[in-house]
Amino acid sequence: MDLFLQALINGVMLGGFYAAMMLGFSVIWGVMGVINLAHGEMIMVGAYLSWLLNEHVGMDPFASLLIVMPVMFIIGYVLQLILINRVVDRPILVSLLVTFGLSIAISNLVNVIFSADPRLTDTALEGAWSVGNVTFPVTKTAIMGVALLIMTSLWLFLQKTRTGKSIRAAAQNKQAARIVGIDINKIYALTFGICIAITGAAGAIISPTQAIFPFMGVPLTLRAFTITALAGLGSIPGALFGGIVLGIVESMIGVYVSGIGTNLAIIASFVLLVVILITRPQGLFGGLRPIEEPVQL
Amino acid sequence: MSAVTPLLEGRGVTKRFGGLEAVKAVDFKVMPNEIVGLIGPNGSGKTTLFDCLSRVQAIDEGSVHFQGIDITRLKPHQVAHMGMSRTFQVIRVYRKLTLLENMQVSRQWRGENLWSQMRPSHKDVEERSRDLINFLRLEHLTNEPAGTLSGGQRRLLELGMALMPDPELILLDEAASGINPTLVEEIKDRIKTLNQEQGKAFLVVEHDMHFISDLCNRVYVLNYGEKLAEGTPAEVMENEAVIEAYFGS
Repeated sequence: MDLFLQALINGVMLGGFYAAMMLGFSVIWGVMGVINLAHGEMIMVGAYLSWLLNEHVGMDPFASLLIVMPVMFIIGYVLQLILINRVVDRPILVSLLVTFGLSIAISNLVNVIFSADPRLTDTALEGAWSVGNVTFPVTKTAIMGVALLIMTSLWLFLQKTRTGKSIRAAAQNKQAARIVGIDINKIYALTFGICIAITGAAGAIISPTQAIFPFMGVPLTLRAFTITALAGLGSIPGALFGGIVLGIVESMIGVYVSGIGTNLAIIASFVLLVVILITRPQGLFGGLRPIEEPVQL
Repeated sequence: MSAVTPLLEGRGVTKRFGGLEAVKAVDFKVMPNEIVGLIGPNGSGKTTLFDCLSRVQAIDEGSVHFQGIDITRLKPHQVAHMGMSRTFQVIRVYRKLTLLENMQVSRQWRGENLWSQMRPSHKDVEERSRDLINFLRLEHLTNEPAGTLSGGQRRLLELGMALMPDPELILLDEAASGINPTLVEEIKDRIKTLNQEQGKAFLVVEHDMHFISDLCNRVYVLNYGEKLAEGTPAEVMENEAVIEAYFGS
């Protein structure tokens, strides 16, 4: 029973990270119709930025969010204006290829600069709390807390601010948004900037617990796919639910299937993806619009 | 005495899709405080001309002027900021946003700074949204998602969204299509009120000739992308070329 509870707690905490990690991917897809295959690489860049600040300035990875997020916002904003904006109205295959190329370019560039040596950051938030025989690692609890904070902030931003409402409007009907005076290019650049900032933040908070290396992005992008399919495009409650489901599935398999547990966990997540896409392609929570429905031009 | 500047003017507007010339050198004017109709058989180029005038489609030749300013190269959101709104033949509302939110996002400001946009809606925007919702008699649906409204209610909402920025000119693309006669009368009633009490000008694309003749001061008739006739509703309905275009010789 203790083992089960521990696996459950670990799964929920992993799920919280997954939810924050995939939000940017999901919102960009929902609003702009762009499937960003360089998503995992943006997490990796955020993690490296945090590592640089940790290594050279001694900044805690959680504190580094104050620098990582604005820097990643600027990277995202500029990337949208100079690159993504040129392909956003073209068939989805074009943006897939562009972001795929971007992912390869970024990971190899980072490999040239930093080498493939795995790195970790040091954090003051170490140790563990114990409740009975169940352990709550402080770092992972902090990751969960920051993830929840990010999700709540994004939800409030999208629901309450005029820009947030404009972003939701643009996701549902681009032409109608244009015609009422919404500057779509600006909304897209803001959306991309905000999403890349969140994505980079996910990289920074995971850096004390997961090895940072140039090719860490691909499995994270694939998980973002699974959770987006489960949650629905841009759905924040859905992201939390989907992230936690995937986290628990991976954690349980990792604990109860000895030997091949970790590998099987990855396989399980993609079996889950296929099942969801066949049975409920709009996701469990609906989100900004159904996955199968393109952005209305 | 100086001549009144047209509110909207198209000069030699031409639009091609590959080898097909959908709109052929059409001259077009809407004067302030006027309700102008645009009619023609199916495929005559009405909606294409509409799209060209509202800058949803780029034109191949000619020019479009709004309040005397050349808007030929402007983007749709820039034209919206100048005071031109429109609705669409296929209704475009934000289905997952509530009625109130649909209205709120339809009020945008030119050159507004980022910080101001990050705040919740201005109080006056909310007041105007609620006033218009009441004017359209949709107040009982204020907090419902637009996706739950009927077709007619969505048409009214779309009209409300077009009115939110307090435009000088509103382009209505088949505002009465697919809705019941009672709602059509309501829409007509609202348009007349806005025109007479607030001086709003309208350009209306419509198949329903009763709708056009009840509302419009002048009517343009398109056929095969060319301007076939213009005049008062009574004049164009007696025009033999128009009758032939609609009913055959």
